[in-house]
Amino acid sequence: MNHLNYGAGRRHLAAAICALVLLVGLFAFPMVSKQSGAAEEDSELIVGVLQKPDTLNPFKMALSISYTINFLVYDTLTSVEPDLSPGDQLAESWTTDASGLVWTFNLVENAKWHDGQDVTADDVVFTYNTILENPDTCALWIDYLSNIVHPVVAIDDYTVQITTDVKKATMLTIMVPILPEHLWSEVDVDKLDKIDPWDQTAFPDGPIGSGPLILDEYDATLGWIRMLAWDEYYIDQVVVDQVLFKIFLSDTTMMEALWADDIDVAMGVPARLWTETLETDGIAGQAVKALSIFELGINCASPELRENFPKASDNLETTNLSVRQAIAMATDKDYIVNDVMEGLAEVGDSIIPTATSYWHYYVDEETRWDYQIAKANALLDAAGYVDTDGNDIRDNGTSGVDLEFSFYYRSDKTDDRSAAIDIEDSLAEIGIKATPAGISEGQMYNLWLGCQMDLFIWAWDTDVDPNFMLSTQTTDQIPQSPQDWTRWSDSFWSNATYDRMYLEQQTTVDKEERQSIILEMQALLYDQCPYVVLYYPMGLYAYTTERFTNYPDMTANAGMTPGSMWFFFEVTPVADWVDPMPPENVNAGQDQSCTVGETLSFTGEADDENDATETLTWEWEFTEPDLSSTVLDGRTVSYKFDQTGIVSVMLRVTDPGGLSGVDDLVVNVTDLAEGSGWLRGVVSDEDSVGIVGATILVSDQSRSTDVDGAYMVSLPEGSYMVNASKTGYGIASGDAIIVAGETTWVNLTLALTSGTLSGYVYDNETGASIASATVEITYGDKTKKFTTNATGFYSFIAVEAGTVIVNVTKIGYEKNVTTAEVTAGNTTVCNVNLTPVKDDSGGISAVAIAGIIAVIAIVGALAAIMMMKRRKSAEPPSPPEEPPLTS
Amino acid sequence: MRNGKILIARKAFNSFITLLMVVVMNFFLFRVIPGDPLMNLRNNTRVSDEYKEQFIHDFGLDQPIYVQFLKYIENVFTLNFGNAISEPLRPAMDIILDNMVWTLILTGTSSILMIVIGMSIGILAAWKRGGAFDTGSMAFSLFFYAMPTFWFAMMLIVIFATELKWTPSGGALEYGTRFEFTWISIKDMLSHLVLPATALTIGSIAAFSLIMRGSLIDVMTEEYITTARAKGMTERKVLKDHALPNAMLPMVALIAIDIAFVVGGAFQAEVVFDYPGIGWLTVKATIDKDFPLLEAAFFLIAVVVIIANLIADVLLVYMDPRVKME
Amino acid sequence: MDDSIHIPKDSKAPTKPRFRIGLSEPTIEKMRLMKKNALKMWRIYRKNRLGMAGLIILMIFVVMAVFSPLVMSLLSIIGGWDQAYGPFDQDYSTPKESPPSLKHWLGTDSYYQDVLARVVYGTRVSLLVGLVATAVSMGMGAGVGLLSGYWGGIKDDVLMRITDVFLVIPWLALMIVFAAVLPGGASVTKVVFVIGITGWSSTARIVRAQVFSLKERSFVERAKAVGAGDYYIVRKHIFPNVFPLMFANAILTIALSILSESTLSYISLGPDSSKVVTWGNMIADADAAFAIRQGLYLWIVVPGLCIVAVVLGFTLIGYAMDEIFNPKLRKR
Repeated sequence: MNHLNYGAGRRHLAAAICALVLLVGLFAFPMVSKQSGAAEEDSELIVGVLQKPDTLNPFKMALSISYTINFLVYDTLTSVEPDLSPGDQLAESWTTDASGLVWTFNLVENAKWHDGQDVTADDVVFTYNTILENPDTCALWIDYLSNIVHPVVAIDDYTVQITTDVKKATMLTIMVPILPEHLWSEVDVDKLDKIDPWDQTAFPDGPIGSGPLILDEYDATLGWIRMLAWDEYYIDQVVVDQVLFKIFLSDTTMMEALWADDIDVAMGVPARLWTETLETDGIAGQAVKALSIFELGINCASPELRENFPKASDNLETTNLSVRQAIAMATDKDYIVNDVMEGLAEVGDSIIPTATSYWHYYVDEETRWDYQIAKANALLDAAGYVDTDGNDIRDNGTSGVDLEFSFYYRSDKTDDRSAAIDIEDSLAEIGIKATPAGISEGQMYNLWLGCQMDLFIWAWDTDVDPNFMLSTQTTDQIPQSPQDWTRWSDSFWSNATYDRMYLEQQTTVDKEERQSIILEMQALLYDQCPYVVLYYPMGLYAYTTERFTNYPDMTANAGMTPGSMWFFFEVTPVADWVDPMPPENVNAGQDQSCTVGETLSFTGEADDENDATETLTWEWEFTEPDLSSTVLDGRTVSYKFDQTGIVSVMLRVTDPGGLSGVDDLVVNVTDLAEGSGWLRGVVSDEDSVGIVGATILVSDQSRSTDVDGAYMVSLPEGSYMVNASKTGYGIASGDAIIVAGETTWVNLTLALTSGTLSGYVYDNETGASIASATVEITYGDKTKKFTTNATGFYSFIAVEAGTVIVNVTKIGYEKNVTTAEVTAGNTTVCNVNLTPVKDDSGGISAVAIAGIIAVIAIVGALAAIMMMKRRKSAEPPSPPEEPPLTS
Repeated sequence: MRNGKILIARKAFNSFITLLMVVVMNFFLFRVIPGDPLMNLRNNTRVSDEYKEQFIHDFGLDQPIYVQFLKYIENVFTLNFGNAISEPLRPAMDIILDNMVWTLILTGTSSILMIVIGMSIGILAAWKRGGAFDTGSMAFSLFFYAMPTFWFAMMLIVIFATELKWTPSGGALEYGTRFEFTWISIKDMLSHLVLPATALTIGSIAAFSLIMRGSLIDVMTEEYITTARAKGMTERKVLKDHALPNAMLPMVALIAIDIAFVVGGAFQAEVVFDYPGIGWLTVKATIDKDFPLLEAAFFLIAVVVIIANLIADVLLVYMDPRVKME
Repeated sequence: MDDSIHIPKDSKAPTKPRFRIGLSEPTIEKMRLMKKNALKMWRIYRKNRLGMAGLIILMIFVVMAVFSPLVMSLLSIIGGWDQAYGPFDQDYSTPKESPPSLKHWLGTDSYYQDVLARVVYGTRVSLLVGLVATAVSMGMGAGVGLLSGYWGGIKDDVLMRITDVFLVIPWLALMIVFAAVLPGGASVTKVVFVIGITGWSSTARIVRAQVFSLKERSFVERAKAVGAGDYYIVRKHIFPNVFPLMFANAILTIALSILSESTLSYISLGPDSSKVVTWGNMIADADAAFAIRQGLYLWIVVPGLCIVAVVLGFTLIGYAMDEIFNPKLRKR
């Protein structure tokens, strides 16, 4: 009986185990396949984004991600250049008539729609007139075409004329997508903002645009959008074959995907992870000025206005200018930028961000509200705010109202919360009580429209043109009642001069004139403090350097972010990256003349942006008068001139990419002139070793010594002074008397006045060497730069003896400046240790993970053993029937 | 069997009323969400005033509540919940159905795993009660039953996806591909399913094996088991013919109730692994205040769970006519 | 079920009550009886090893919750820190999100706060949320279960359909929406209410089943015959018999409530971590700061393990209690 029983148990155990094995196998198999991905023929760049498009119908879209996608598919009349200024796109050039009301745009003639048809003036005219004729369905774009008189007219196939009823300053920043007339004209008007871009009847070949990328496929459920390169685009071609935008629900999942090599570019890296991301090998990043401002808003609603807001805040002290200015002086913007934003933002002052630097007003030193608690207290005392009731909060001398304000921030923004906590502390120092409360953005909407917020931290996305941002502070944008959805002002600030200047700048076409008005408006706003602009955030973009390269310099041009076409014109897969830049300013030296039989040495000069000079190959070609030519390799070569006449010397420098640059010179070889003799000699150092490339100067002739330090020059009879010199050595001179037909020998020795300086750069935390750190040395007026190689090694030769300042920098590490003593003739070693900015070692070591798993396993085992042991002694109790599953 | 049919009919009627209640609750629940759906347009400077008025009109925000309610009820019967706010040109029901497929795949695999592994562990543990396997599996089950799914998922993603790079870090398929019935696509889907299914299943396997073990031990003490043994049947035959079938009965009922629990767990796994299911969608819709989407999601989940319960009840009745439904 | 709770015939003569603070004779008698019963149960409970293990785990956490300041000052003495950290004290001397060090055994979080202190103080709200939410769902569940079970007929059907609604929709989906719908910021009361109102349906189901079986019992018939009102019968006879099973179920619901709180906090619908500290919102903060990526494992692992430990403790106790109140099991 027993063995059967035993058998059954065993067989059952076996069944369960093989079920488990089968299951693991089923899953394990696909895992293994992840590495051996099929070789992709066409290259695909995967860009991770954090927002899902609402719709890609150009008339209905509202979210910024939809704009980004569609402005890669459709062209606009004028472009947004890499530096965010207006430039030409479909419109090649434009002119206005004397009155400034009639604009004439000349279109490029080689723009093509993705289905091959030509882009003509009819398309532009159709798009603009459709919007002007249907303001409701095209509600999205009507604002851009304000003051434009209907109809827009096509003069000929490639010229469009637009008339405005009043001078329009924002004519060159009309961001309206130009649509193909031959397709969209079939769509009846009231379905314009309802039709699906992939509607088969209206758009048989899918959405057709004329931009650099074709909109191929969009899967809303799986969250990706595929776009194909349009290789007939008239400005430039996208390098990769396909661009895939992948949508993520949270930045956590996006960053995991970047580290797991599932995506190539991540748009919107969280600030706290920035140093961590840059230190991961194979990943680099750039912090780019963003078109956005974060501000501490103050409620300036007048008492009368607050009447039509039942729940309005009743503390009117924020309408007092000195209170607002005191608050501005009590805001420690440097702390917020350096500590809260970890340096990834710019201290703010006026409401137009520095990304659009042309329109930004740089507040000068005197009028700046710098962080001065004492000055703020003095200002409040002068304004009559004193703490009468002893609760160390200042109150209004006459009415006794305390300076106690409601203060809101968005609870899901951790940075806003830290900033709010700091502002609360510093306001307390000037006797103002403001306890920050975190609410959802939806509730902030309601409190704004209820005029209930005294102080609040909120943000704005600004536009390429400052017009909209300036309009948000005008009087007619102040909501008049809690239901007044459509007004934008949240400070309720009203100022007649500001309003007047706003209208004036709207109609000033001349750029400089408009700029001066806009700067004046920002100065006024800065002084009146309805907003204390805290900072301008940075857009953080991280990307792989293993699979793609040649990323544009976004920090210099804020307009080249991954959302713009300029970005895709640059990024290239590493596999087919060719260094397009040939070596530059190749220099073989000046024309020379010498006497037949002389040996001259030549040293080539050239530099190349991407490749170090050592990797370049140098070829010298000497063509004699009898057209025989010899080719010598090497940066410094010497050649004996045996034939008299003109010898042409050509230097060709080629870089690893196969591109080369050339320079040439001519050597006039003459016989030994009547009555002249030879001057020869050897230049050597103190150990009498010949010095190559030393410069010999005698009368008007200059020669450089060959490999053995020898030189040779012919001179007319007479006595001469011969000078020899070389960088890193002293100077030597000697006299020579030249006798016709004879050779005079003058040997010179040069004393070494320089030494070499080399060493390693280490991370003082882990002791590991740091690759690609920049080492810069300065001595006298000279500075030299060297980037450490993979082993962290650097070296400088021919460094003047004396003290040398060594300055080592690397992203993620603190700067390290030391000095080193260089003595002539020998090598000084100077190793440098850098301390990382965050002193823990980034990334996870497999050991740590193993540690955690071990701990869990031990706990589990202990529990099991404890139970097992007790089993032997007493009859084991059994657990009851069922724990209820659902809560 | 006649009263079996009546029982099922009554059960079906009850389920229908429950569904009606869900529909009514949906309407009031979601129209009360504070804040406004235009919230994410606030920062977008390009949106004009006319657009906002158009938006309010489209979603009937300006009509009185009862008008909205009547329109809503009429729509529900035609399965038309209107277009989603976050995707104005797509009907909410289509979006939900697309996402529902992936949640069903995830909960389907997890349920199968849970039942297969959970039961075999439970049977083995009950069979060798007090043995090493029993206490070991009990410790395992208790430990993982207590673990929050999202926390365990976080650990999995860091170790297996980011550090060891064995499995993809998230999503349901290779980015940029759609599902076809080719071997590569199936393999791709499975490799994306590994981590979410593990995170979701571990907890349910634990619970399931405990229940199975408990109910089997409970059945083993019944009189008819001792009589069967008395008749000289081998222990294995007793287990197979008598103990297991009866132990299975309560399991079927529990599987049905458990579906809502598994879907709850799926929500967490989807959020952590960016898996495009209903959970992912519901969390996003709550953030976007997208009430048409939420109404459609809750309606569909309720339908699925109710149908599952109905099937379980029908199975119950046919499997054991003796069961008297209270 | 009823043989375990009835008045033993051979009880000794009642001892003279030492004090009389206006308590009527029968109440003292009942209190004495309850004490005797509790002792009996404790003797059974003590034999159950799993139950004891669960109890010990729970004791540790209860001590941590009740005497948090004491625990912290003790640790500060051992650790030699200058002062016992509170959950919201910001120590600006060490950088934020710093790894475990001598001064901060578990490192610091994104707001310069000590992680160890937050784990200790986090016990308070985590347990509190579990207990109060369970009380809420027990109250509602018992109420609905008792009434619908006792009344039967139409009222029963209506109540049961309402219960089904809450059973049918997954608990997390319901919680997400209630948390988003209810007014008031992310506060503890809101989280407790949300977990409570989504957890009562399974209790209602169990209580109702129990009431059905009790309804037919003889002593209820006799009470009705004597003319006792419905409410009296439910209060005096049915509820005392249902209570023990509810109590066992309650323990398991506490475990699930704590799990729910941590899940809600993870999708940032839980209490605001700047005002209230729970293990759930600690993990959410750690995840937002990519703790694992930055190598700060303890910050995210320790609170997770605490949740597992507490839930494990409650589950073990729940089993043990179930066994005591379910005699069929005890027979084996």
